Amino acid sequence: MSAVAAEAPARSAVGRLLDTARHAQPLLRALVSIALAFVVTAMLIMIAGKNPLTAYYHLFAGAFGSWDRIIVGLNKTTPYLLCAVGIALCFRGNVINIGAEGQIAIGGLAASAVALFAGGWPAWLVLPLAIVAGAAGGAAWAGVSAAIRVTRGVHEVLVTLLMNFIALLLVAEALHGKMGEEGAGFPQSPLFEKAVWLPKLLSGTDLHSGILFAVVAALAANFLLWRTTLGFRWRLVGASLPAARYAGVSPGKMVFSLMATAGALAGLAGAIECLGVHYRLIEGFSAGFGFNAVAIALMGALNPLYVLPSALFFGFLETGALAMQRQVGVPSSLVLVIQGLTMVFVLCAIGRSGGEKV
Amino acid sequence: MQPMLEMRGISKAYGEVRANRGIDLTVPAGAIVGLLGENGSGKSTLMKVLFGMVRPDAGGIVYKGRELAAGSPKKALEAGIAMIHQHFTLVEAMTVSENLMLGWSRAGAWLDRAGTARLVREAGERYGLDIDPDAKVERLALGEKQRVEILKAILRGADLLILDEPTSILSPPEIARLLEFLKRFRAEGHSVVFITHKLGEVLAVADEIVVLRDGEVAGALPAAGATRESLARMMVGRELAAPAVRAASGHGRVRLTVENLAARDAGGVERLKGVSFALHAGEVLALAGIDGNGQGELADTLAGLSSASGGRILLDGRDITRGNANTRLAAGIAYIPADRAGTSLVQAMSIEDNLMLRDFGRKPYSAWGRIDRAALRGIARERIAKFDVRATSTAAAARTLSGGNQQKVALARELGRAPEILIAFQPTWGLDPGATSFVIESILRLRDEGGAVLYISSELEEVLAVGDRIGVLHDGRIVELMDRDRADLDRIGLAMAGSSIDMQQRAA
Repeated sequence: MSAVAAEAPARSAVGRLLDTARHAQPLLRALVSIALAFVVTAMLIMIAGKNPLTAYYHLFAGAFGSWDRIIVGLNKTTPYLLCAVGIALCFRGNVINIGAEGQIAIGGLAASAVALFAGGWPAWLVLPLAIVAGAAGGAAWAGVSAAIRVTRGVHEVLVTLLMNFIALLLVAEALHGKMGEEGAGFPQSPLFEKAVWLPKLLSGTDLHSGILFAVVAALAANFLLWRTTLGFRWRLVGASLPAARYAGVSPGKMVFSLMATAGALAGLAGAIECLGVHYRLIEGFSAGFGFNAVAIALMGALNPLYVLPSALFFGFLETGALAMQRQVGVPSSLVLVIQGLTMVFVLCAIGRSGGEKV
Repeated sequence: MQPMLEMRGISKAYGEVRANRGIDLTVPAGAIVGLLGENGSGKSTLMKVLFGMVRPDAGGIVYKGRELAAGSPKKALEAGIAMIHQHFTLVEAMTVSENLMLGWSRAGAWLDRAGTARLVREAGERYGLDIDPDAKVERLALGEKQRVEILKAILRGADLLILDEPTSILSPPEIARLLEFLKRFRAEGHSVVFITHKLGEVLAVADEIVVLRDGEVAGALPAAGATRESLARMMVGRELAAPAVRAASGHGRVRLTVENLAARDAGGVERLKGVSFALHAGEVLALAGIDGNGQGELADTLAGLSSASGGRILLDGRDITRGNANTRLAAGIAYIPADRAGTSLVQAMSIEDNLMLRDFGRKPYSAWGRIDRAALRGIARERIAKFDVRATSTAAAARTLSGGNQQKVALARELGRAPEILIAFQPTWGLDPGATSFVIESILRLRDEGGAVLYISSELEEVLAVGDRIGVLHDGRIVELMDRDRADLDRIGLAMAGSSIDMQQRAA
């Protein structure tokens, strides 16, 4: 690499910044990448004939301008954080799980089924049961992918990707059948009884208690990864398969435990979306969460603790996007450009940094 | 007559290792030159220099009377020099003809499948290298792939063929066939450099024999006047002292008994073909042998990393053949694998984590699934001091350490457990002399404390220095086994080169 650097003519400003980011801590690296993404997007906004500073002001105000906006941002962050933590664990163990999308869907489906069909039971039992069913559903769905990966040797990227489509179709099938609301005109289930709605964290606001689950999950995953023998096995399998074999660790079992953990977290996210946001199962409620979560996990350097700010960034960015569109007329899809560019810059910085410590 | 090739005074150093030191090599036209030498004697470097893959520090190459530009494989190819590597450069998903046309300027923009197939058949008949031109390469056996490589070279007009240990992947009938081809090729006035460490094959087919040792020519002589004994002695080296006399190790009781152990490699090829020995408490059994004769399979199978395809392993008379890495470890068998970079250490993990790599599930490293970082750090500090690991902190990544310090971490882990049995596979590979003697002293100390050690190495000097008994592993079997004070260098050298199996007969 040094030879390449020596031969390269005058380095571009972006290249120098990326080099700085390469040597920096993951947090600084993410910040530099985000700044670069905003700069590049500003040019696009100018090309569209708008003032980027005004646009960014309204983006910021739309995200943090009032308690209501902040609460929306926290609610948006919740599923991202849950899914990204699971994905970060998987990627650490070199299991490229991109099936969060489907695992959320099945989690939501399972939780909704409990919420709808356990009507006669006491509410204090149904709500926890629905949440547990969501996590279990996601874990089981991921477990199927793991089983195909381990027993048939099909690469997990392929399996988890294809399982996503099946999961989405299963949700659609349920909504067009037994779980659908008659005469709704849209594939959705009837509203759940109020007693099984996820309690609010602050009464009188929309802030549901899901964010608590997500933060606890991130902290627990961090402990699991660095302080337990299970986490050590995961890291070992991810770092070197021959070394894992030498240490007597079975890679197959690790694929199962990683996928099940990530699936449970994604399924929990699906349950929270249904029980805490929509109060029903809606077709397409999981759309986009799974893939954004991969980006969030990577931006968080695959470290459960760093995934926390990374998920907050994505959550609040999306909250502000609509305000920006409303106030300045800049399309909210430009936020997708910011997300995408941030990812590209983060990946460039990671790519040049060589191995990180695991 | 003018020789086809003359290499004069070739020198090449990699850092402090002088791989070639003023080597002269002459290849007459229409002759097969056998290039002999142990691992690390400089054969590969010399051939890489010839083929332009490595630029020499000094020396020149004259090919067909003209100076050959150094450091350009393209120039070498154009001049008519072709090299058949041990690892093939074929596209598996393509047919034989397609592989031949690949990157061949003569093929032109339009692919002439029929014409190429005809060429393959003709050349195959002429040289006894018949192969189906329409067969997909991925379906071919290793020997057939090698034939495709050779055809590729000669169809492109090679006059000088370099074969790098071509027979190591071949069955005896295939070896005979290859040697037959070499004779036909020679009869047409072409030349061959045949790299090997099998004496029988060289004596069967070569006109001239050049022996390298420690980067220098140890001898160059016509094959007619050579004997196995003289060649083996040249390869191994006369200056190699007989093992120093040392107090008899006073063998203890038998700990590990290995009976007819067989094992396959990852590709399903049987590499271990019936190994038997007994390992006693308080002794080092050192096995010499050239790489690839079953050493890796023997070590991995004994350590439980791969399973045996036949035979038995007994520990104190108890059958432990069906066990895995965990059960072997629990039985007190420690293992230092040869591969420091990816197996015995995880480069990206901290020294601490590497020190608990195989013990993390036990107290005091963990309890109830929770790692005790404080206890681990204490153990790490103590081990680092005891084994003199030079590191800034116990949290530093293994990859920040030098090779010697990395091996000390592996030793600290495996010996720190106070094992009763140790399997050490090439434990000094790539280490400087200081680190090498540290490793050997540590292992001998374990022996003095009553440990049973199996020491596997391709470095003959080391085997002689550490072994209480010395064996030779060849072709998946132990072909010699002698006490230290009866060690006979000639016999060891011959056995390493495979003379206990009559190669001349196999080749004929």
